[in-house]
Amino acid sequence: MNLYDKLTILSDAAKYDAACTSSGMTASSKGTGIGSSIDCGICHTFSADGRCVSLLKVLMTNSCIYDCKYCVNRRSNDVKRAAFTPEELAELTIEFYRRNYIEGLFLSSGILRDPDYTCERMIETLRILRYRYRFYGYIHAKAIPGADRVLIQKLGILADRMSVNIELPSEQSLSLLAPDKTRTAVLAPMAQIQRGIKENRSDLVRYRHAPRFVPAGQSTQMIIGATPETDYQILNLSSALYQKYKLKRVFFSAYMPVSDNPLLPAPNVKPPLLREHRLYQADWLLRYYHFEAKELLDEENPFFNPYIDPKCTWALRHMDFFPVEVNEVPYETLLRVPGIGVRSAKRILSARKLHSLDYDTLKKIGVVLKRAQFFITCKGKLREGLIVTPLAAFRALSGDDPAFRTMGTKGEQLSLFDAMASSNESEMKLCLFKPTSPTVTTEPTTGF
Amino acid sequence: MSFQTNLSYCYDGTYYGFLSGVFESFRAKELPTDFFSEDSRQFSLYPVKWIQTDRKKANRVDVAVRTKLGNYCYELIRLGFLSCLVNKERSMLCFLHRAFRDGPKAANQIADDHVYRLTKAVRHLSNEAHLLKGFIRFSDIDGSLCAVITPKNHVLPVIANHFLDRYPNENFLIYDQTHREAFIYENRTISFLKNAAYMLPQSDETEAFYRKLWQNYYDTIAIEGRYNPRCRMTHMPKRYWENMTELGEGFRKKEQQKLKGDGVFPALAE
Repeated sequence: MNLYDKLTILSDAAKYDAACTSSGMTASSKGTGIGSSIDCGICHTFSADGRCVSLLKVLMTNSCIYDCKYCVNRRSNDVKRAAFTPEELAELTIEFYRRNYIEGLFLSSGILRDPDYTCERMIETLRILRYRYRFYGYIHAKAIPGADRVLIQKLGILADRMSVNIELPSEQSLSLLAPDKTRTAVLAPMAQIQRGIKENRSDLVRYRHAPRFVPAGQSTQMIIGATPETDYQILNLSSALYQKYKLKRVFFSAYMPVSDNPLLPAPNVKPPLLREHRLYQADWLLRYYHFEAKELLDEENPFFNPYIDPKCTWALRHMDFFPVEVNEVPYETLLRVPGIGVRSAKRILSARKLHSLDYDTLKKIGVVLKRAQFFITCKGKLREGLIVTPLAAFRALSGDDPAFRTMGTKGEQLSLFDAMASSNESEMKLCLFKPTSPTVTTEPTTGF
Repeated sequence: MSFQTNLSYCYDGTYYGFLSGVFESFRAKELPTDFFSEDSRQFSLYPVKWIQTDRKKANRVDVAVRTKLGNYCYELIRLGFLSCLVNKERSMLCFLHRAFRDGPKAANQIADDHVYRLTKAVRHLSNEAHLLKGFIRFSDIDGSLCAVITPKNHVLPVIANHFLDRYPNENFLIYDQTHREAFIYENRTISFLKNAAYMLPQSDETEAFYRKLWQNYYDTIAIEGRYNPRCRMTHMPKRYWENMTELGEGFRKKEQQKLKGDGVFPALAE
C-alpha cells in the first residue's frame, strides 16, 4: 500500500476527533532545527465543514482490538485497515510542515495488539520527530487508556498536549456502548497526566532545564447525541472536569451515524449540530464569562433553547438584573450583557476612563447594539425610541442568531398576526419565565 | 498649537519620509489638508509642499513617539503606516497632533474619528497578518521554499519574524504580489526587496506529490454530514483561496496553465 492510500485511510479514520487546536504554548527553534509554536495557535486552513485544520490529524493505525459501537474503527466494522511506520509518518509531518500546511501533528491510534505496543509505536514516531529532525512544532498525542504508566510519562515528555477521550458522558452509556472500556481505565491516565503536570511545575522551579511534561495541558472529548444524557448533565460533567482535572478544553462532538446498531440513533438521524453549538457557547460562558453551570440550566430546564443562545436565555430570565449603566458597572457585569464580549468589555473599560460613552461610541467599540440595547443604559438613558419588553427582546434576539440560521433549520415565515403564536410559544415561555417553584439544587450524579 | 492650512504635503513614500513630514508639520505649526506619497499623487488645487526625507529629523520623531507616547501609540504608528487605510498619512498625523497634546491615553479616545480609523486599520492589518501566518503555502523549489501572497496590507514586515523563527535552517522567499515586495532569507541573511517581480516556477515531481497528498488530506478530513460552506467562508475569506494549494480551482487551474505555457520561469529582479 502506498503513502497516498495510507494517508487517505488513516486521516479518514481520525476525522471524527473534534480537537484540532495548536494553542496553549509558545516554543521556539532557537535557530536550530525546525518549527515553533505560538500561544494563540494558528489555523492553517478550514475544511468544507468549516472546522479549523491546524494539525495533521491521523491515526498510527486504524486496526483495533476493541469493539466500541459508536466508533468507525471498531473491530467488527468492515473497513480497509492500514498503518504508518514511525519513519514515514515523521517524514510526512516534516514535509507538510516545511510547506506551511500544518502547525504540527495530532497523533492518535487504534489499539494494535495491546495498549503498550501501540503506545511504543507512537513514542517512536515522536522521538524521531523531536530528536532526528529537531522538530519544535506542536504535537498533540492521545494517551492510550490501559498503557503502562512509564509509557504515558515518556509520551508526555515528547508531546505538547495530551488528551484522553471520555467519549460518553456517563458510566451506563459507556458500559452499554463500549464494553471493553471502563470509566476508571479512561480516568486513570487523565489523573496521571494531571499529577505529572503538577509535579513538573515544581521541578521547573528547581531545575531550569527539567524536561517539560505536557506543557500545553490536557483536553478531552465526548460524543453528543449518541446517548440520552441531558445538556444539564453534560455541562455539569464538563465543569467538574475543568475543576477536578484542570483540563484546558473539553470538546464536544455531535454523533455522526457510523453504525446501524439498535442501541444507537438510526443512520438517517441528523447529527445534533445545533445542540453541539449551544454546548460550546455554554462552555465559553463557563471559561471566559464567569458563569456557573447551575446558572445556565437546572433540572427543570435541562436542555438549551434552540432559538436563542445561552447567554441571551440567561439575560431574558433575569430582566430584573438589567438595564445596567455601561459607564459605571464593573467588568463582570458588562460580560453578562448579550452583545458585549470579552474584547468589547475590555475596550469599554479603557475608553470610559477618558469620557463617558454614548451609543455611537459603543458601536465604534464593537458592541452589537442590536442585542445589547435591551440591557444597557448610556448616561442613564435608554436608546432613543426603544421599547423594552421581554417579548420584543426575545424577537430581536431569536431572529438574528446566525448559528440557528445556518444549521439548516428552516425558518418560519412571519405573519403579522400569528407570529410566535404556534410552534415556538412553548420555547418562548421556557426562556422568558422562571420556573415558579424555587428549584431545589441537588448535585447531579455524574460520578465526579 | 497647529492650525489648519490649505497646504498639502508630498513625500517619497518611505517611513522616514513620513516622519520627516510629521516633523515639518510640528515645526511650521501647520496641519496640511492632504498628505500623500509621490506615487499616489493626485491632481490637487492646493499648493503642494515637497517634504525632503531627513533621517535625523525622522529619528527625532521616532524617538519622541516611542518615549513620550508609549508602546501602544508607537505600534499604532508603525503598523498604521503598513496598513491599506486610505489617507493613512493624514489620519496618523492628526492622531500624532492629538497624542502629543494628550499623552499616551489618546489612543483610547475611540470616539475620535482619526483614532477610530487608525485602530480599525491596524486591527485589519494584524488580523490579515495572523491569518496569513497559517494560509501561506510554500513550494519546495530545488530545496528552497517559495511562496506568493496577495494581501491587502503590507504584511511582510509583520510576518517575517514568525517564519524566521520557524525555518531557521531553510532558505525561503515570500513574494507579495499586490505591493511587488519580496522577503528573502538566504544563507542566514535576510533581505527585503521593493519593486520585485517573481513568478512561482513549475513544480517538480516530489513537490507535485506532496501537493497531491495535501489536497487529498484536505478533501478527506471534512465530514460530509457537517458540510457548511458558509462557516468556512467566514473563517477563511475567498480572497485567500487563490494562493492555497488545497483550495480553489484557481490554484489547480493555474497549475495547468503553467504546464501549457512554456518559457515562464522565475525572474527575480529589482
